[in-house]
Amino acid sequence: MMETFVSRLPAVVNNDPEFANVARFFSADILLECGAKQWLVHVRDGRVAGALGAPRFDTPWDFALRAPEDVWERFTRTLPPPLFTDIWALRMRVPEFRWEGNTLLAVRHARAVARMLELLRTCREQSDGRD
Amino acid sequence: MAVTDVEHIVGRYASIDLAGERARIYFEEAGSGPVLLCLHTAGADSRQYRYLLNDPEITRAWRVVAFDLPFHGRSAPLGRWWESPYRLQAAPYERIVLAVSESLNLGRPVVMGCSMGGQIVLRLAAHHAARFAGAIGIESAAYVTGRVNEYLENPGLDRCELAAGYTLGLCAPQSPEIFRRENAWYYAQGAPGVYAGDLAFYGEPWNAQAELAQVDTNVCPVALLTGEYDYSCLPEATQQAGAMIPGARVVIMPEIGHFPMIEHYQRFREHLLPVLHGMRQHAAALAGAE
Repeated sequence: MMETFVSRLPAVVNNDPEFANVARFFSADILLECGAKQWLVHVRDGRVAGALGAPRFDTPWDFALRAPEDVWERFTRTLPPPLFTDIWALRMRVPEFRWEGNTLLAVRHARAVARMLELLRTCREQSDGRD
Repeated sequence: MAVTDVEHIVGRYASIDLAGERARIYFEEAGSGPVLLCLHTAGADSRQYRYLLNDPEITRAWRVVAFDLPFHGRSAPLGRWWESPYRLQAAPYERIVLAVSESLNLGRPVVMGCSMGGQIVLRLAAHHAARFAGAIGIESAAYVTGRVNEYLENPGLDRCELAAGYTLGLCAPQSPEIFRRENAWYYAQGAPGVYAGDLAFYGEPWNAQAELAQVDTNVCPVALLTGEYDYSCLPEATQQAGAMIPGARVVIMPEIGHFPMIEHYQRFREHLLPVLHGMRQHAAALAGAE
């Protein structure tokens, strides 16, 4: 599930006008975790430069967004159920979701981070359309 | 020259006495009839009610008045505000609503508030039932845990931009994007620290259970309307508050989030109109009895 979405993430995010607008000054290495799987998403100056699967344990990152697969499954639906609509909703009401590391950097660019995660829904719609 | 689309909303300023201090308050209104006094959410201002104020079906029956709390919108801050962080507290908040109502000669209005406004209407109904013809709480709860966002106080980031992004996500995904963005824009215009200082008011201990049981809904009817998508004021929290008030009406609104009156007014009004209809009959009976 998530592998397909993340593989589409660079193209989808880099094609999004809102992300381009809000992420102009945003650079970070983000660890995205879905159950046992991990990706390292490199953002440089408002563009997703890559999403590397299965990074080594000692690869540094700025902040991590971790949740079990069922949380991401609900979050990435085109119409997510209540409590799974937004990164702040997850943070407040879904204890399985964890936000770690340099969270101040993440919150400085909270709209960009939130938008990137919202775009996982577009990635899912695209892959559902293809499959 | 044709002038089109001039709205009926009229905005004015009033200097009112607030615990010995003159407070300059901005308010706007439309319509005529018994007064519906509207209270905005934390960190926002009365523009959140612009769709209600522009709804002819409402303003034919009600004089709708919405004001900006001190420190919000066009209302001035109070005291030597530059010397200490802004913090809203329940008792002064209650006094402000009462002072505005009295100073503007609003009589015995129906008071309606959202979020923190939804909590203060419960306190007003509990403490001052005879001053109001009804209380409508939108996204209203006696208390809710976990809703403070500590980052809103961090000077190491743009708190206004954060407030905008944060409140964008508090809307339901079904609400039209243009309205969700409008609310976020107003949030971005709040002064730094005000949203956080408003939220501090939720942390105050309040013996809601004992006090809400005392609310006489024959004197001041209470209705609580909450969106199913509100993750801040959970629908369960509203149902819990409603259960504490004998005779309160509770409505859970599908496909609506934390800001019904602005994020999706057309859907919200379907739930609000029957509530207002009931309140209007009560207000008319009160006027007849006086």
